[in-house]
Amino acid sequence: LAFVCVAPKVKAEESTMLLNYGHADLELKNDALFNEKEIVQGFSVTGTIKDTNGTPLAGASIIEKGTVNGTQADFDGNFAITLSSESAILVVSYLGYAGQEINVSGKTSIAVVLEESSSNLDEVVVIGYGSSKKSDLTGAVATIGAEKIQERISINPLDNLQGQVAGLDIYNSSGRPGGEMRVTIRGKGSLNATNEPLYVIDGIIGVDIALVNTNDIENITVLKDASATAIYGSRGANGVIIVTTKKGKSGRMTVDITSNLQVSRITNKPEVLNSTDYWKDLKVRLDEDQRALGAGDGSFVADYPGTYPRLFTDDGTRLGAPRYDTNWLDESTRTGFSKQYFANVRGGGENYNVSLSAGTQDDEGVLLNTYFKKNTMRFNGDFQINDWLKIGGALAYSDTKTNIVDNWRIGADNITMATLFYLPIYPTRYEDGTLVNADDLKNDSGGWDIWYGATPKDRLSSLDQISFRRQVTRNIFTEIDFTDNLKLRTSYSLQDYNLEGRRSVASRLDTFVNRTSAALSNENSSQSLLENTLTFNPELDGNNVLGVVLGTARQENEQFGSSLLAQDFDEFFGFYNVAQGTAEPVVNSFFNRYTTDSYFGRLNYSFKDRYLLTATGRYDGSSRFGENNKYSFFPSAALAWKISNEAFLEDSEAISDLKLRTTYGFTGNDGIGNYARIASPGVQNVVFNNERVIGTSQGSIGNENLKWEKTEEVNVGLDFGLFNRINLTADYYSRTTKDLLFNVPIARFTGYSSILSNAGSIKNSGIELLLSSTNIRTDNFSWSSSINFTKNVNEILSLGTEDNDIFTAPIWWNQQVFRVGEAAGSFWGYNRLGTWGTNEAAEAAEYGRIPGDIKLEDKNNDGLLNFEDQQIIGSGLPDYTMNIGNTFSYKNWDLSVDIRISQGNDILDHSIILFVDRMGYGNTYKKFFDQAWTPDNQNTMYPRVRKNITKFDGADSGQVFDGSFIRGQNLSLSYNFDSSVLDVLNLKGARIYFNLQNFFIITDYHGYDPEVSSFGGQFTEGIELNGYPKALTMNMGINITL
Amino acid sequence: TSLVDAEQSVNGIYAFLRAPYNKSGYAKMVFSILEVSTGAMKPAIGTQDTDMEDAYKLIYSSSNSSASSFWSTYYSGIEAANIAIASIPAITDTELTPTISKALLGEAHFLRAYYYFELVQLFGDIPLNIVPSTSLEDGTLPKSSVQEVYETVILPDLLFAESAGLPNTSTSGRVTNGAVKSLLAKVYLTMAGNPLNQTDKYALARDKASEVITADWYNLFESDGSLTWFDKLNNPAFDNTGENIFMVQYEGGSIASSISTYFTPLGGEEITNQSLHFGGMEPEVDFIDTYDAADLRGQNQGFFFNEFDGVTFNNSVYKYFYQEFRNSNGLSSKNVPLIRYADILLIYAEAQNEASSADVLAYDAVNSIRRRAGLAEVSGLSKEEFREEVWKQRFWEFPAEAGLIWFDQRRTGKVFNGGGFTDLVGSTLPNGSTFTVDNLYFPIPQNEVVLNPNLGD
Repeated sequence: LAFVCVAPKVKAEESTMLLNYGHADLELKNDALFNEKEIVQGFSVTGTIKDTNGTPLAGASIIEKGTVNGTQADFDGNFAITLSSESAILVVSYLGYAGQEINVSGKTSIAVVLEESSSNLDEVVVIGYGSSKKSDLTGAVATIGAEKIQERISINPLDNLQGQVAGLDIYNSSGRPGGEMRVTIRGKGSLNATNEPLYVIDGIIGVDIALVNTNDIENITVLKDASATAIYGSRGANGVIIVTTKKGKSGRMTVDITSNLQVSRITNKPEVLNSTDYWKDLKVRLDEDQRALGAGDGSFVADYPGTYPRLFTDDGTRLGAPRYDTNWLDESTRTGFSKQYFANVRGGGENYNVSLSAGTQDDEGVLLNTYFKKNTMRFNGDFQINDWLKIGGALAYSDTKTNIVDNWRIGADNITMATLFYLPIYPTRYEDGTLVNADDLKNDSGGWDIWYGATPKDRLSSLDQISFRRQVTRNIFTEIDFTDNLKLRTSYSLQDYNLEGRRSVASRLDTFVNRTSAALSNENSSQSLLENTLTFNPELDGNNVLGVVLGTARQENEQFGSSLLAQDFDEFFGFYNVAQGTAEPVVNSFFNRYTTDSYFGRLNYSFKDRYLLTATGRYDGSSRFGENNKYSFFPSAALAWKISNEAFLEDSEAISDLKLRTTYGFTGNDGIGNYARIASPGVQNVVFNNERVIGTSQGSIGNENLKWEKTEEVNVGLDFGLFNRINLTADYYSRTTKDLLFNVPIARFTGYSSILSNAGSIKNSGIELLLSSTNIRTDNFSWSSSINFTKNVNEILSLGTEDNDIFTAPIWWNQQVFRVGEAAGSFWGYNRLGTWGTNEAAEAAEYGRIPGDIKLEDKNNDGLLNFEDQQIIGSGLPDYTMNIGNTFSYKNWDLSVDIRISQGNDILDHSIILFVDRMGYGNTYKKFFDQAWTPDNQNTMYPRVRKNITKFDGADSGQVFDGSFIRGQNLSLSYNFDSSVLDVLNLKGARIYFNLQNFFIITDYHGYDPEVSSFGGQFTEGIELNGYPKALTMNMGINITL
Repeated sequence: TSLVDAEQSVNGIYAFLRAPYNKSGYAKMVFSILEVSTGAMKPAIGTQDTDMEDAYKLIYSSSNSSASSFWSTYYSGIEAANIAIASIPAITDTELTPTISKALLGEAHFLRAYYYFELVQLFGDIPLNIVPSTSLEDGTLPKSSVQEVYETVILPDLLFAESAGLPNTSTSGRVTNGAVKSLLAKVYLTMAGNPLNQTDKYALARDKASEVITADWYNLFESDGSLTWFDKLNNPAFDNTGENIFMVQYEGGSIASSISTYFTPLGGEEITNQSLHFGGMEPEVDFIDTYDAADLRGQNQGFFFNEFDGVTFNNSVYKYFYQEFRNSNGLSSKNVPLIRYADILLIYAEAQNEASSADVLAYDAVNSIRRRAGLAEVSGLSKEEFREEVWKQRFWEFPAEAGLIWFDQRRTGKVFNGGGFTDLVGSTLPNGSTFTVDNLYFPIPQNEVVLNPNLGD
C-alpha cells in the first residue's frame, strides 16, 4: 500500500528504472498508513532542501513524522508545509541521500542540507539490468559513490577503485602513466580464458573503462557473487563492474569545473654502485675472477688511462680513476608535470535531463619521453515525451595517446633495466658531444672489455612506441510504461574502438638484430548490442513485494586489423616513410567476428520485508562454441533474511541492521579466441629462388566439443549494523570453476604443444570483510573509518586427465608451475642453500661449481642438479590484502587517508640472475654487492662477483623475495568554501584540495616497487625484470560548482 | 581448396628446416650441441649457450633445450607433412593435375623422411606420427624401434619421392630428384651402420650414390683465378649450385640467415662493421692439428681462419664467412648446406669399399676430395686403409656442418684421435670429457616424457 501511494510521485524524478518497488520510503511504509491522528491546527513552515553542493533537491519528500501529511520540494528545492504543531518532527528524504529528522521547535523557516550517503540502507544501487535498494540486496554487491571515487586524481578510473572493495583486486603492475591494471574479482578461476571482469558502462557491455574520464562517474557497482552476476550469464564468471555516469537532474543547471595540476617524482630509488666502487671494486673482482678461470693477458687492458683518456684520469694505477660518475636513474627520469581539466554541465526540466562533459588530461611520465594523454567528451540525455514514453541516449568519445618505451625488448636492450644497471663510468655524452657506444672500451685483444649498448638516456630519447586508442560509444533507448508497473525498455548501443600503433627503432637500439625498423598497426573493432527488458512490479498486498525482469540481448562484434613492418632504412625517416625500407615489408591483415544471443530473467520477492528471494537465470549462446554446445543456462538463487526487521529486533536500539544472505549459482566464461574451436592453419614464410613465399602448416588444433567454462559459487554473507554507526559486511565464498577452457599440453611429436579443451578445475575460496564506522560525529568534527579485508585462497583441483604439472615461463624456462593442490602459477625452481665455501671445493666440483658459486639443494642427493631437485619456491598471490581508510572533517576541512596492505606476495626478481648472480659487467645493487661472497665473507646467499653464471639453472629461491607492503595509497585534504564566500562569488560550491598518492611505502623489497609485473599474461604478478618505476604523485586542484 | 592450397601446404613443410640453424639469444644455435661433442668444435667464450656447454661436457640432459628444439621443430615439420600428404589427394581443383599433385606429394614425403632420419639418429627409438593429429589421444603413442622408423616411413617416403617426377636439379631451393637420391644414399649408408648394421644396405647406398655421380648433376667447387673453392662455399651467389644438393633457404631480408653472424670471429671487430661478434663455435686446436700441413682445409681461410685483412683473432669458422656480409648490416642470404656433393662422393667410396672393394670410381671420389684440398692422391690401399681414409676425409670435410661428424661417429662407432680410429664409447674429447653409452643418443625431452610416460625408458 505504501508502495502504491508513493511510487507514482517518485517515478517521474528517477531516470533509473525497473525496480520501482525499491523506491518506497521506509518511514512511510512503517508509519504513515496506520496513523489515524487528525490534524486539528496548522503551523506553517517553509524551507529549502539542497545537497552539500548547494544544488536544490527538487522532489525531495517532506513528511510530518507519524502522519500522512507531506509534500515535495519544488524545482528550486523550496517547500511549504502546514504542520499539526510547532513541535512536530519533519522527516526529509531524497533518493540516494541520508534522510534527516528535524525538530521544528517553532522555527518557521528551515534550510535542510542532505548528504549523499554510501552507507545508507535506502541508497539505490545499480545492479544488472536494474537497481535495488541496498537493504534489499541478496547478493554480494559493493558500491562506491562519486565522492569516494573523486577523492583520487587519476587517469584511469581503476586507480580510484584500488583497495576500495573487498574481493576486488586491482594490480597496478607498472608505474607508466596509463599503465596496465590487472583486475580480478575473487581470484583467478581460469587458466586460458579471460580472468578480467565484465565492464558495463551505462548499460553498454564491454567498454574499455580506461577510456572513461573518472570525473564523469556517478557511481560504480561491483557485482561479486553468482546471484548478482548470473544475469550476465556467460560473462559473469569473473564478476561485473558497473559504471554509471553522471546524469542531469531536474532542477537548475549545474556546472562543475575541475582543474588539477599534478607533480610526480620517483621516490623509491634502489641504490647501485657509484663510479668509483664500480671501477675500483666490482670491475677488479670481475677481472680477478676471469683470470682465475683462465682468461689470458689479452683479455685485459694494460693501461686504462693511457688507452682511454676520455674515460679515465691517470692516478698512477693501471685502472686509473673514472672521469664520470653518472647516476643513470637520475639521468633517465624527471619530475613529471601533468595537467587535467574537466567541465560538466548538467540539468533538466520537468520532462528532460541532459548532461554534457569534456575532459582533457596530459600526464608526463617520470621516465623521459613517456607520456599519456587522454581526451573525453560525453553527452547523456533523456526526454519524457509523454506519460508513457521516454527516449534517451548517450554519446561518448575518448582518445588516448601514449609512448610506451619501457617494455621494449626484454634483455640487453631493455630501457628500464638499463636505467639501474648501465655503467656509471660512462657519461651521457662526452665533452665533444658524442654518444657512448659499444666500442668505447676494448681489451688488448680487440674484444670488448665491457660491452654495453646505447645509454638509457639515448634509448629513451630515440625510441618511439606510440599507441593511440579511440573509443566512441553511442546508445539510444526507449522506455514504454504500459501501466504503472509494467515497463519495456529497448536499448541499442554501438561501440567503435580503434587501436593504432606506431613504432620506430633505430638499429643501435636493436643490438642483436641490428636493423632499423618501423611498424605500423591499426585495429578497428565495432560492437553492437540490442537489449530489450521488460520490468513488471505487480501490485500485491503490503506483505508481499514482487519484481520481475525479463530480457533478451544480442551482441555482434567484429574486428579488422592490419599491420606493416618495414626494415632497413635511414633512421631519419622513422615511421613517417616506411616505403624507404629496403627489405621487403611484412604486411598482415585480419578479420574476425563474434556474436552472442541471450535470454535472461530475474525474480525478486520479499515477504514482510523480512524474507527476500532472488532467482536469476540467463540462457546464453556464443558463436565461440560448436553447434552442440552453443547454448548454456546459468541459474542462481539467493535468499536473505532481514533479521533486524523481525519483531524481536525491530525495536532494538543497538542493532540497526542485521541481514543474513546466502547464494548458490552458476556463471560462465567464453573468454577465448573467436575461432578457437576451429582448427586453423599456421602461416609459414619460406624462401625459394631467394624470395619469400607463403606456406601453411598446422596452426592450432581444433576442438568442436569446446563448451562453456562454468563457475559454481556459494556465498554466505552477513550485514550487521550497530547504533547506525558501525556496519560490518562479511562474506564467505567458495567458487569452483570447472571444465576449464584450458590449453591441455600434448606431447610435441603430434606437431602441437596443446589442445584447447575443457579440462581441470580451480577453486577460489575466501573471506571478505568490510567494517565501517562513524567514530565521532559532532557539529564541527567527524571521523569515520572503513576497513576492508580480503583473503582469497587459490587452489588447482585438477588438470586434465593425468593431472600432470604444467610449467610455463614468461622468460627463460619453467619458472612457474600449475600443480594440483597448489596455487596457480606458483614460482618453480631450486632451493638456494647459500654459496659454496672454500672448504667445500671438492663437493662443489661434483656439481661443476667452484667456491663462491651458488649452492643449490640436491634434494634427492643423486649428485645431479636436475628437474627432480626443483620445487615450488613462492607465489605472486598475496595471503591477504587490506585497505584502511579514515576520513576526518573539521568545519570546512576534509581529510581522507587510505592505507593499502598486501601480505605474503612473493616476487621473483630476474634482475638478480642478471646483475647479482651475474651475466656480464653491468652495475649492481649496492645492497647485494655488499653481501657478495668473498673468501672473508663465505656465509652468504649471494655468489662471488663473477662475469658469468657457471651454469644457468633457471630460477632459484635466492631470486625470490617477500613483496609484502604497506602503501600510503591516497591522502586528500580539501577545503570547502563557506556559503558566505560562495554567495559573493555567485557560486554554488568551491573546493580546493591537495592530494598525495603513493605517499609512502613500507617494504623489504629492494626494487622500485613490490607491486610489479614485467610480463604480460595471466599469472605473472610478481615476476620482475625491472619495470617502469612508480612515482609519488602530488595533486593540487580546485572544483567549482556553478 | 585449390592448387594454391596444395602448394602452400607443401611450402610450409620447408619452414621447419631453419630452426637448428637460426641464432637465438646472444649466441645460441641449436645444431651446435652436435658439433661440440665431436672433438672438432668447441664453444666460443661468452656464448651464454648452456645447452652447448653441456653437450661440450658430454652431459646429454633431458632438459637440454637445443635437443628439445630438434625434437619439436622436426616433429612440427612432420605434422605439416602429414597434413599435406593427407590433404592433397582430396583436392579436386582441376589445375592440380596428377603430375603436379604427385610432385608436391613427392616433396612432402622427402621432407618427412628427412625429419624422421634426423630424429631417429638423434634420439633412437621415437614415436611414429604419420597421420594428422586430431585429439589428445594422439599424444599417447608409444615409441617405435629405430628399424620400424626406417622401414615404416623413411624408406617408403623416399622411394615415393624418387618416383614423384621431381626435377633432377633446381636452383630454386626446392626438393629435387638429385636430393632424393642423395638422401636415400645417406639413409642406406646409415642403416648399414650402428645400430641396425644392415650391411646389405651398403650396396644400395653405393648404387644410389653412383646414380647421382654418374648423372653428372653436381660438381665440386674448385678454386679459380678469382675465388678459392672455400670462397664459393661461403658465397650466397653459389647457393643451390655446384656441389650444394640441398640447403636451408634464406633471403637476406625478413628471413635472413644468421649463420654468418653467429660465426663472426670474436675479437675481430675491424673485419666487419658489425658491433657484435659472437664467435659461436670455434675449432678445437687439437682438431686443427689433425689436418695435414698441406691440407688447405686446415689453413687460414680454408674451413677456418685466424687472420683476415691483416687482423688476427682466434681460429674461427670461415665456412660461412661471406665477405660482402662484413660490409652490410649483418643480414645474410647465405643458405646452410644440408647435403653436399662431397658427402655423396665419400658415401660412394665408403659403400663400394664395404659392399665389395674400392674400385676406380671410389678412388676417384676420394681423390677428388683430396686433390682440391691440396693433398696427394692415394692408391692401392687395403680395405681397412681405404675405409679409414674415407672416414678421415669425412672428419676433415664436414666440421661445423649440419652435425655430419656427429652422425658419422654414431654410425661407425668410431672417433678419429689424430692418429687412428678408436671406439666412440670410452674415448675422450680434447676437453677431457669421456663418451659413454649415454652419449649415443640424446634422451627424449623431459617435458615430452612427463606428458607421455610411454616415451620413458
